[in-house]
Amino acid sequence: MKNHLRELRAERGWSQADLAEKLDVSRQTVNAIETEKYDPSLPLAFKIAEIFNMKIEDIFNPNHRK
Amino acid sequence: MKQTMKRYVIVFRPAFVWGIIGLAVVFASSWFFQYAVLSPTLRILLALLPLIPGGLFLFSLVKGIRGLDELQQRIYTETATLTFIVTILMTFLFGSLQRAGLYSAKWDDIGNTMMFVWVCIYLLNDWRYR
Repeated sequence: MKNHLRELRAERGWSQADLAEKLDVSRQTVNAIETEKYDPSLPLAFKIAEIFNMKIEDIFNPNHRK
Repeated sequence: MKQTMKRYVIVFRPAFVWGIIGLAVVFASSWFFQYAVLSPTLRILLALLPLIPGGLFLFSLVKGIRGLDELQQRIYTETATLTFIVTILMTFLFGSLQRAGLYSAKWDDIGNTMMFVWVCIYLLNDWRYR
């Protein structure tokens, strides 16, 4: 699933490790989501949206599948 | 990477310890079977003894996997499923080789094959998500 996680993270000046710590996941998970190799679960997607203070659909776009 | 490794060490430490204890019990019981004179009851008890650390190893392993994040859990689940299927196929292969009189597999071969296949599939799966 296409997402804007990398851009949003870069805008805030966070590293993948910083975001991983905030989400309580591994850096590998953040990287896999950013590179669209892995789609997060609904609870993790909500957590990401909450951290960026955005709606899930503003971060993830289900119409653009890889 | 450091953080991931730290997490792995924390969640899998009990499983690692029980695995080592289990192996030690297996080796010790094998030694007793070979060099000590034991009553039939004691032989049964000694043969079943590795089940205790083995069960605790399994419990710690499942608990450890549940302590990982969702991607790592997915990697482990995919690895376990594929390893199970490949091991079944390998078991059939060992059976065929035995019937053909080419190779007579020991019980340990199944376990060793399973561990080897598990490591290979885990590394492959882990690489897929890097």
